[in-house]
Amino acid sequence: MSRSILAALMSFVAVAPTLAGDPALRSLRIDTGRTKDGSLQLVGPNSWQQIVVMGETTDGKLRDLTRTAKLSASPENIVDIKSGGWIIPRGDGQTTLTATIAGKTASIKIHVAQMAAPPAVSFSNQVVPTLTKFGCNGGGCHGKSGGQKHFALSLFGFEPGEDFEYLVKEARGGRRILYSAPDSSLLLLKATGAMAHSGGARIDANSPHYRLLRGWIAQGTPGDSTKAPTVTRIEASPRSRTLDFAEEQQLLVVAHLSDGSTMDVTGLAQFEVNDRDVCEVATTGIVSAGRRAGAAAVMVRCQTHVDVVEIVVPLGKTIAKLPAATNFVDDLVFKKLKQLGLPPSELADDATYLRRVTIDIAGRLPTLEETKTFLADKDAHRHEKLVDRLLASPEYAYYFAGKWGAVLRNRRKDPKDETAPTFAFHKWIKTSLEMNKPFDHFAREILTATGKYTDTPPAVWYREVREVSALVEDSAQLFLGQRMVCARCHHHPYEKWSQEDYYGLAAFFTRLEVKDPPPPKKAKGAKDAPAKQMLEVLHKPGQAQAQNPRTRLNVAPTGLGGAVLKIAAEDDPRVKFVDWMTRPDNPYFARTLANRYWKHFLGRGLVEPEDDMRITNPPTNPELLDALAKHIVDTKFDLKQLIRTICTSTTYRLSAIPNAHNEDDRQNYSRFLPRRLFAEVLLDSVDDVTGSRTAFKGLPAGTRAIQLPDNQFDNYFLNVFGRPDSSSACECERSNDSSLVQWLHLLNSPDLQAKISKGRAAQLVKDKRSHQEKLNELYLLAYSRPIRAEESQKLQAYLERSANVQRAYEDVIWSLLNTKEFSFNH
Amino acid sequence: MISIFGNESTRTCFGVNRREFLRVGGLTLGGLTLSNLLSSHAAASTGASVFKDKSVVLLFLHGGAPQVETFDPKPEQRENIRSSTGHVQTNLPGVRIGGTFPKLAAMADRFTIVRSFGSGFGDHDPRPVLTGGNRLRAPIGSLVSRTLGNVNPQTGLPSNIVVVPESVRPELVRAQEGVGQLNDVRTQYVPAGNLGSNDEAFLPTGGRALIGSLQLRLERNRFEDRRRLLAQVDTFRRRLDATGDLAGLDAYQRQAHDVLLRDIAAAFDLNREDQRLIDRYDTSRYFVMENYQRGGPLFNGRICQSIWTNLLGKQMLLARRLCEAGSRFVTVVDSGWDMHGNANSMGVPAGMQILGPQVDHAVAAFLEDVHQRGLSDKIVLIVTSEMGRGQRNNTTGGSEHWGDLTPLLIAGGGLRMGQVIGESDRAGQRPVTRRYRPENLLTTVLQTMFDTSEVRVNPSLVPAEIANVMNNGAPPIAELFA
Repeated sequence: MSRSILAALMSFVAVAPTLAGDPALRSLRIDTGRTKDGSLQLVGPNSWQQIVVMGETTDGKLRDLTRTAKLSASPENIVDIKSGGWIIPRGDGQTTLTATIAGKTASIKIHVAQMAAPPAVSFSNQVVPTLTKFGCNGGGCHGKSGGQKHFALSLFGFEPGEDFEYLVKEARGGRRILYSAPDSSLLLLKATGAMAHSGGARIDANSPHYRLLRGWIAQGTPGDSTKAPTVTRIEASPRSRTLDFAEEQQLLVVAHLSDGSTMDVTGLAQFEVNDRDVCEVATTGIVSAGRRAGAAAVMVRCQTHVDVVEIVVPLGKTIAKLPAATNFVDDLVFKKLKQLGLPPSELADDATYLRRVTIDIAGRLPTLEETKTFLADKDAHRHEKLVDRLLASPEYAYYFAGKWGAVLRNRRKDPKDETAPTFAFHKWIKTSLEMNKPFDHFAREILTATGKYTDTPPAVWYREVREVSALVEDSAQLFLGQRMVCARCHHHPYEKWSQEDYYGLAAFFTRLEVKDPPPPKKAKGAKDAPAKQMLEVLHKPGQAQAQNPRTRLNVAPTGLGGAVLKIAAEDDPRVKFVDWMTRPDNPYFARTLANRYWKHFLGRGLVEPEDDMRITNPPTNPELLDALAKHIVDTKFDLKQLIRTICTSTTYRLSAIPNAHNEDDRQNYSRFLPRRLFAEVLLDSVDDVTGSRTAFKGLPAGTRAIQLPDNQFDNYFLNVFGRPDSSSACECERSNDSSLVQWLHLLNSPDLQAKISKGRAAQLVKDKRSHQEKLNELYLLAYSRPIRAEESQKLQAYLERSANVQRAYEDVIWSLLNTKEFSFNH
Repeated sequence: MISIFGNESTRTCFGVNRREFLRVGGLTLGGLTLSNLLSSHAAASTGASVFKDKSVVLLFLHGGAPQVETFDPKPEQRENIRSSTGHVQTNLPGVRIGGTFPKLAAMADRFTIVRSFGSGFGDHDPRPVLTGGNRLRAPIGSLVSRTLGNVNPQTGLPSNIVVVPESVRPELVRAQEGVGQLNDVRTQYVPAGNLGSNDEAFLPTGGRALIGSLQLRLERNRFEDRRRLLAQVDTFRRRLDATGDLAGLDAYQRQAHDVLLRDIAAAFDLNREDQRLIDRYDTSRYFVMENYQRGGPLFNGRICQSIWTNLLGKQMLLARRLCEAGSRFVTVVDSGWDMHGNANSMGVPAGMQILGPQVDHAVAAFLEDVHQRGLSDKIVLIVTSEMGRGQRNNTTGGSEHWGDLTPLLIAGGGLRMGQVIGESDRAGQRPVTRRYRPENLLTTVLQTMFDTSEVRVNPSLVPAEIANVMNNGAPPIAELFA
């Protein structure tokens, strides 16, 4: 923020699209978001109104003409018209505001009252949002704990009561607020930069915002009376809008107050867009479409209230033909592509599909046999049959047990710790997946685990997730896609959740006892240490409730957005929590699962990150997310069916190679998004291609990396390629990023060099087949496809040129491992 | 202004965009040519957006440096309390420091002393101080490495380095065992706690996994052969190039080649410095190491002081050189500060007479050099120890381990200099003002290097486990930020 925003706020210099070349204008109207019966009320000098002039062309397109239409008021002395369509009251009375362009006009009536006897400026509804708008109470400035340079504000103004203390009471006798000369108050001098301010000049002295703050001081800094109306919700308009490239749209934001009145808060709201390639939004609320087609969400926030505007920028290409849809997934993806005019890529060939789906379901490369069989298969249902084979394979359960084990924090604190608990939990997860335990049962058994871990292995979850706060935050993130941590200490900045909601969830976990005694010391002289007492989770009967630290009142167990529950003292409240969570109409549970699995297979969540499903972080294809969630509920939380549905869809089978139009698309699934193999899969694949096997200390020889029961087996390769530490419920712990050290390792490590020279290279030298055949086999192994003629020629030439054939084969294998075709799933 | 959706929030409270800043000013740090190899995507995957472009040099006086002899001399107290090496008046009114530090005394406005810092730990393990007790049990250098990547993407230099005397004199032969010897360094300074080997410190003397892959394994010719072969085989990329999905990968791969073929050893080579500058840092004249070792003229027949090295000046010069070349956290270990006055170690007066002047000279040379290069705000120097020492025994001159007070000096980094923070009791044994602990030092360092308040509102700007540490930390040493 700072100067750029300031400039934008002051000048409204925005280039509006011209009408040149557009079809003729059919109609014109003036929007305020709160006009009643064609007229608008402005009360007192500290009110204002953003207006929007909307035109509709003869071909039915909307155009924002606010910054091109001529605006005039008659009579003139009632309001001032600022550039950009900002209306400021000047004197009591009534006036007609008229917009004129291209021969069309539109008008509204404006009543201005109480200019001489202004109503009190609202501290919570006007002053605090102004400080928020200009970043004064941001986390890097006065909003940080302890404030900045002896001036503290609550973070983002979430505690107006505290802000009033800081601004008015604490400053008494000081120069921060000067009632005798409001303009000389430090608050204003610093904000305008008239006095040295590390935060720079933020508010222009001629702006309505300055006038507002000054007015509040001149009125004697009134606080909020208990009867003062509060904001109940904000509403942004238009709700959604389709924009052409480079087109603009001014948004309007209206606050609805508890007394039924409304006020314009466009100038107080904050705007942010989730995909800046699709569109940008200025602090003034002007959205401008960017250079890339797609859909974006503009989040609008005013203090604790949020709203979202959907912006679509179509590419507008005609889609000659779509591949045949396999199931509802394709219907909804293709519907979106048609809306955007975004033609999808071709279908991937069988070799690519085989490698892709084997990696995604079973976490490994296809074997030579599998590849040969599948590539020869002409059955029309070979893809479905392949998916079923993979889902029935033990590798499926291993691979997904690793995925769940990481976010369920199945870890040893120290690699030297006993492995029994993590192994037991891992085995339980794996078996659950293998037998295809319905996901709601899976979640229930973890969240209600009671007893010793030897009988109830999911009790191990409570070793790492033990504090009430961890239980609230982990279960919300894992199963509800909600990140609650902000609401532990203050209102969630981007969500509707308050501390009351947080402690409502916390109450479910307050009747819990986790016994995990340290291993007993061996007594002097004793032969063996006494047996360690077992990890055990117990329910302590009693009233489940948690104290909200702000109100200091106890909160009863309440599901997010749900009803307050009455739970008998002898009942385990966790059971009620799961009952609430797994109901078919729960808005979070099935959606979170759908999004998590969609991301696993398609590379990008419908909501991204996949476990942060805030209302301010809307899905790119809401209908698809709804349909997947419904599918999950309809199939009684059948995980294998969910995978089957996704992996046999035409969408999943699209090629990663872009066509002429969709190379920029990363959110609409018009092509497959390539991604690096996960650390474990990559290591196993390297082993498979080189014909070696990594040894893991304490585990049987031949154990593959995806079979590791926890992530505390030290291995440099796995660490370097971003294996998670299992220390949080966040999928983000797994890093799929590339790094220099990874490439150094693949290109140059002694470890990899040893693998290359020991295994397959030596075998190939002894192998009597022709170079051509052997090279083809290497390609089938590494890429699941036959070698192409030109590749074969080049590599044969390399082999024949070399004096040392073993070394030459090593070089070839090294090269294959270092290609992106190898390290990526594509 | 915070970012709600993305990781783009790079503006600080002062309206400066970090990336702009980097482009305009930061990259001039150091003399190496910096190619913009990495795509912005690759850069954004680390904590780069909240990085304030600072490096830290942590000089660790291993053994337990006496707080009274160093920066809290208690001149008005009785004989066995006050500094046995006397005191000197600094250029700050009323501020005096230990008698073996006259050079530092003349530039006290360039550093700040904390007299109420205690490691809270009374044994020879630097980890409580290095980690600040963070739940990852990772030294600060490893946290920095995890946040920014373990290698500087522009220069190929490891982010987190430990400099020992062997780093500037590879042929140096010391006993392997003993307080502060190489084995201690390997087990206590290098490992990254729960962060694993990826973020271990780079110890430029021997080969851990990282150094293994930094040194080209093959003959250059064969490596180049392979590189050409790879270029022929790797055709897949060309078909996907347009999408940006693989953006950065080629850059990494190219850079990996560069690092392998580039002499990053140059950064470790002090001979590339101006000889006059080397001389200014040089501390070898302060004592002759061999004199105190077995066979040496000052060897007392019992204590082999092979842990005493006169190489601290060059170690500090190397640290500065590494920071310039892109390292972010350089820990310099100087050993021999255990002064019990018994069969295993010297007493305090003798030990300080040997080791004090070397620190005085090396640190003063470092501060002056950094100052002259205009890097004072970019490089933070911290001087501390794993603990302090108890009251001196008048007979032996020795003193015991003491965790309630530990010497701490901080210089540069844009922090407030020329202060004495906190106060100890008359005996110089306990703080009488607010007690600062390693956890406060940890937060201080993180807050100096990173925009941690930005991380508080948008934890996804740094790796999750780092956000966890940053957002659950103790308060910083507030006076440094005042």
